[in-house]
Amino acid sequence: MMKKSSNSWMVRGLAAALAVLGLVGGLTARAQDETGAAQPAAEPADSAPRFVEKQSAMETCLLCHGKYNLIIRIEGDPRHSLWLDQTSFYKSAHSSLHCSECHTNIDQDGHRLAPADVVVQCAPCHDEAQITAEGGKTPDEIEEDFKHMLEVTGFSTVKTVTLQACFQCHPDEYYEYRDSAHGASAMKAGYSDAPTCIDCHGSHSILPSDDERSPTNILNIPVTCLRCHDEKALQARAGLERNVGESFKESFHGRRGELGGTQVAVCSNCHGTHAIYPSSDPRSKVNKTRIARTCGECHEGAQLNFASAFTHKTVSPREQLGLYILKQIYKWVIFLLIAQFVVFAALDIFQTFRHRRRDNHAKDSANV
Amino acid sequence: MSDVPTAALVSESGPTVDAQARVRVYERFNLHHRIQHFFMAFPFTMLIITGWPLRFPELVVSKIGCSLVGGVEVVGILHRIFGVMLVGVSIYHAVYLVVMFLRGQRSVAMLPSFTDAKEAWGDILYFLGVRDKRPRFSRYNWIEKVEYYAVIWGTVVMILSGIIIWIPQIATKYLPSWVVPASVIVHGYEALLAGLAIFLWHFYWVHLHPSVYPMSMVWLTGKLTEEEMEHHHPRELEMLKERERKSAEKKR
Repeated sequence: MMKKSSNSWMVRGLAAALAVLGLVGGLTARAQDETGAAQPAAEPADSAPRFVEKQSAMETCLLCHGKYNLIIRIEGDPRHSLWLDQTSFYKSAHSSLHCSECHTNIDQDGHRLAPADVVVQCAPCHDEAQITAEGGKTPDEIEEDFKHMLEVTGFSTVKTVTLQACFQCHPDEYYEYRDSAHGASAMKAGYSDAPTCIDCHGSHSILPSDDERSPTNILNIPVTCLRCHDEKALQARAGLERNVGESFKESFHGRRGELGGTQVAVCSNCHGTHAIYPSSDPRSKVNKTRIARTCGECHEGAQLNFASAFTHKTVSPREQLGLYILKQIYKWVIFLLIAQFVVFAALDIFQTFRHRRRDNHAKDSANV
Repeated sequence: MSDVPTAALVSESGPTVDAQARVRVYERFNLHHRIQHFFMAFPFTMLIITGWPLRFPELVVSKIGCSLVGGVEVVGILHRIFGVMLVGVSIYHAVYLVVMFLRGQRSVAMLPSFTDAKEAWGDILYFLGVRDKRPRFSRYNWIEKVEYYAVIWGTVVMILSGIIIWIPQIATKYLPSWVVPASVIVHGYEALLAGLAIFLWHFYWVHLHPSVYPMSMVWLTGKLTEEEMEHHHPRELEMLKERERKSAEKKR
């Protein structure tokens, strides 16, 4: 049943399997079958009686996957984590399941699976009919989409499968995302480092954004976005604006956020959420034609001239020379003044005590 | 005669005798001055405290401070309240100067003069050990004058930049957009400068200086003893005594 494969195939398979844990519908498995990429799903349970009891099964997996530093190199991700965050997992809807209930064809030998051979079985819990009804697409359409995505993206199945799975219930967000800069980069251009749903929302314990633990909560959004946008290599690859993190932290928005303020603008307030475009695109919330309105959501009466006061430029000679000079002048004035204070005070104290001592000495001599 | 202070600013009541200590005391600051000083110092200090977190948000003390008063939003509101207080006392002082001028109670004691330059030079020579004594200062010495004008300059700068970053959407209707980031920089650094000037420089002279340590009480009582006058403002004391002598002669 199993192909002989190299180590890298093995780890990629495992990676793929873990990342889609509990998200993929039975459809997926079927789609994989039809693209010829996957082997039939799990062997019958009784022929693989390795997981006798749930608790012991989890413990076996967690011997390795419970370690946060279980990181492997796969294509497109040199530091791919295979860690199962147990605190997240046990809070999720799937907390009562054990690994092998979804990862049906992974047993101790299953670690040698090629990624395409990995099956994540969501049936019978999530049956086809139900998912289709909620997603508003026929199984055939979804299958077509899925095939197409696999072809064009060159993704590991993980990312594609994720999109497909989330689409079932969140079609509006999916379409917004698909047309956005992130979606275009991931799905049209096929960059595997471009984000899909799980990169921002997480995977096992997806929480509503008003929950403080959610990566899309207002307190966490900057961290979530900067995980990619602060990456020098990615900035170069995707032509992203540099120093967005630094300039945000310097701004009043960033400072108030740092102090725990929630009435602040974070990345998504200005740039949008699913429908994020480059600022040159007229659909972008920060495009010249729309930015005044975007600022006006919080700053009543904001006009274009107001909006252009806030940029992601840093105060450096190259980007904002005037402000840089202003800052340097202040730094020097402060430094010189403090130096002058200290020198004057030190000299003054020295002279005061010197005269005092001499006066006392004179008095003593007079007394004698 | 340019340095002769008027009666209104120096000692309305003239020298008095402290009943207990039996020493002559001179009123340096009247109650009105002291109240103005307090309503300057109080919002100033509170503005430094409430402005601190936003200036250094990464520090733990900033975060703790914010959570203690109920969040950064509350701190922002407090900062604006104290800001308005400082604007109020500044306007009050400007009006006070104009009114004093119109009532003929004008004083030139605070105006910079050539004497100040000479005294500054003499003071520096004293600090360096070249001269044995500090110059014989009048009512305000050169350091006090520099402080006074620095406070005026700093207050104007802080108020203007503060207003711009309080209502940037209105400010950018009339001003170029770069004034906003520039004001942010100016407000932050000028505050640092003002804070250091007060808590290092001013506090050195009124608290830590060996001759006043632990604190000069003049900001509370307004009074200096004859000995203190002789030490800090000998030329003013001389003039006061001269005037006293003349009026005594007249009476006779």
